Amino acid sequence: MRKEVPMFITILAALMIVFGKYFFLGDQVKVLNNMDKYFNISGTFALLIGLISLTMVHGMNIRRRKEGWYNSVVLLVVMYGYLLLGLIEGNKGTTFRWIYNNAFLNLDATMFSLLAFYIASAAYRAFRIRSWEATVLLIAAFWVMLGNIPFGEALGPWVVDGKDWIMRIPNTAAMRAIQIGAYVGAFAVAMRIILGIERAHMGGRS
Amino acid sequence: MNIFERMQKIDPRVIYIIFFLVLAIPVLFPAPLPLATTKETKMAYDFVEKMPEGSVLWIGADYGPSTVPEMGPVSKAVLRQAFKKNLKVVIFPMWQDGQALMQNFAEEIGKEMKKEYGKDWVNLGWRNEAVSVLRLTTDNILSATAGVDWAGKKLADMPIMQNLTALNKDQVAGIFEFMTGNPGAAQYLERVVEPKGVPMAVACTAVSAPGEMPFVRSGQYKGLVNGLRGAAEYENLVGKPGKANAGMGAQSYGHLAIMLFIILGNIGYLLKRSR
Amino acid sequence: MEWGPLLGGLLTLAILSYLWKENPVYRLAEHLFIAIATSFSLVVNWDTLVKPTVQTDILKNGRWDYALAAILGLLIYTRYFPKVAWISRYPLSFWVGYGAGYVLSFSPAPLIKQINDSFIKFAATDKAGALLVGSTINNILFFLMLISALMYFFFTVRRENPLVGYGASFGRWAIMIGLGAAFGNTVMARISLFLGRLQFLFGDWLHLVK
Repeated sequence: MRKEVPMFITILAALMIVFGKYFFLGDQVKVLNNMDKYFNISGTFALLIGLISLTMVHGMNIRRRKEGWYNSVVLLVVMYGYLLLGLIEGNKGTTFRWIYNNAFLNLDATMFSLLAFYIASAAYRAFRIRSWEATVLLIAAFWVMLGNIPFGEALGPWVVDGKDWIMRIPNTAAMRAIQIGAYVGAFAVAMRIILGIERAHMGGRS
Repeated sequence: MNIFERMQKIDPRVIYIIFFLVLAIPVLFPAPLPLATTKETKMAYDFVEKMPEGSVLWIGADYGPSTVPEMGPVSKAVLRQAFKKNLKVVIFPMWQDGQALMQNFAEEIGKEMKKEYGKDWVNLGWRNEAVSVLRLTTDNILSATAGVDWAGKKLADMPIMQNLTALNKDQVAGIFEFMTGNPGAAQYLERVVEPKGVPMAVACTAVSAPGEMPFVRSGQYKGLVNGLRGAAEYENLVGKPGKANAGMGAQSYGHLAIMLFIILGNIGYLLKRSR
Repeated sequence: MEWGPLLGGLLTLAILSYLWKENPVYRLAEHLFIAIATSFSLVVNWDTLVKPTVQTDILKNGRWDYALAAILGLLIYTRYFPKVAWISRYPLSFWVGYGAGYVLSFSPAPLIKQINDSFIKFAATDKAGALLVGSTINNILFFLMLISALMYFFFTVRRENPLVGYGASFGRWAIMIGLGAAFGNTVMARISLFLGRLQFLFGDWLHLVK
C-alpha cells in the first residue's frame, strides 16, 4: 500500500497520457481530457498547502515570541484578511484589485528590480577574463550589449549587424544543442519514472 | 596598492549609488533616440497585421509584475494593434499575475479604443495547473474553463464565445504569447502549435531571448519580440511610442556603466595578476 | 492625493532600502508580499475553478469523477499527520506520472522540428537561383557549431577520439559565444526591471516625468 500503490499510480498515469496521445481508441474516448481535468482539479485542491504551512510556521513564531514575531502577526492578519475580502467580493472586487494593483504589483516588481544592482556589482567584482574562453564570452557579451542600445546603433550598422549575427548563428546553434541535451535528459527521467526506477517522489531513493 | 587594486575592495553600496544615478538621470530627463527595427520584431508585427479582420487573436499572458517594464509596453502595443484591426482578443493566462496584469492593460486600451468586454475581448482567467487547462482548450474551451471567465462570469452568454469553441487553426488566427519562463511558449509548442497547427509569435524578456532564437530559425515562432528593445521597436511599428521607448535612453547609459564596471574590475585583476 | 501610488511608492522604497542594509521596514514589506501572493492565488482559483466545478460540473452535470480528483488532491494534507503521511504519496505519484506521460508524448514533436531544421541545404539561393554566399557560409557555420556543441555534451564517447576531441573544443567556443549573448541580454533585462521602478516612482507617484 505504501510503495506499490504509488508506483502503480505513477506508471498508470503516465501510460494513460501515452495511450491518449498515440492510440486511436485513446483519442476517441478522450482519455487526455479526463486526465487533464483530474490533474487540474487535484492540483487546485492541494493549493491550501501554502496557506497551512505559512499559518503553522508563523503561528509558531508568534507563540514562541521569536525575533520579528510582529511581522508574523502582520502576515497572518493580511493573508487571512485579504483571503476573506476576496471570498466576499470576488477577484473582480474593487478593493481586492486595488490592493493587488497598488501593493502587490509594486512589492513584486521592486523585489526583482534589486537584481539590476546585483548584476552591476557582479559585473565589477566577478566578471574576470581568466581564460581565452572567458575572453570570447566577454567579447560576445559586449557586442550584444552594444547592439541592444541606441548608442551602439549610432556607432554604425556593423554593431547591430554583428549582434544579430551572434544571436542568429552561434547563439542559436549553442542554444539548440543545449536544448536538445535537455530534452534528451527530460526524456530519460520520464522513462526512469515510467519504469519505476526513479522513486524520489515516493520518499525513496532512485 | 594602486588605485585599481583599492577599487577592487570598494563597498558595493558605492556601486549601487553610481548605478542608481546613471539610470535615474536619463529617466528624469528623457531624450528620444532613434532605433532600427530588428527582423524578428517586424515578423511578429506582420504576423498580427496579416490576420483577417474579425478573426481571433489568442493572447498568452504568462508573466508577473517583475517583468512588466519589458512585457507591459509590448502587451499594450499588441492589444492596440489588434483592436485597431478589429480582431477578437482572447486572453489566456498560465501565470496567476498574468490574468490581473493583462486585464489591466486590456481594460486601459479597450477603453481608449472603445472595445467592449465580452464582445470584442475576453479574459478566460487563471487556474492552477494551467498547462492542463491549455491542452483542454484545444478540445473545448467551455469545458476547460468550467464555463467561466476570470471573474466567474458565464462565458456561454458572451457574444465573443458564440463562434469560438476550441483553440485550433480553424477558429483562431494565431497566438501571441507573452512569456518570461515556464509555463510559456514551450507548453504552447507542445500542446497547441504542433498538434493543432495554430501559428504563434512570441514576446519574451531579454533573458529568455537567446534560448528562444532556435524556434524562430525553425519557423516554429512567426516572430520574436526581445525584451525592452523589442518592445520599443514594436511601439514604433504600431505608431505609439510609450514607456519602452522612454526607457531606451537609460538603457544606453546603464549598459555603458556595466561595461565600464567590467573593464575597471578586469584592469585591477590583471594588474594584481601581473605582479 | 492619490492613495494608490502613495502606498505603492512607500512599499517600493521599503524594498529598495534592503540595498543599503537589511532593516525592519524591509522585513515588514517582505511579509506583506508573501501574505498577498498566497491569498491572491486562492481567491482566483475559488472564482475560476473551485466554485464553477462544484456548482456546475459536479452538482449540475453529475461529473462525480471530478469529486474523486478533488479528494485525491486533498489527500496531500495527510502529510500533516505522521501516522498516515504516506497517503500523501498517492496524489504526488499521480502528478509525477502525469508529467512524465506528457514529456514522453508531447515533448518530442517540437524537438523533432528542431532536429529537422538543423539538417538543411547549405547552399542558399535567391529567387533567381543565384548563390547567396553570406547565407551559405552562415548555414555551414551554423551546422558545424551545432554539431560541435552537441559533441561537447558527449559523455559516452572518449575525447581521445580526435573528431570528438576537436569537435568538442570548437563546440565549447560556440557555447561561450552563446553564453556571452545570454549575458548581454540579461543585462538589458535586469536594467529594465529597475527602469520600471524608476518610471513608477518619478512618473506615476511623484509626477516628475510624463
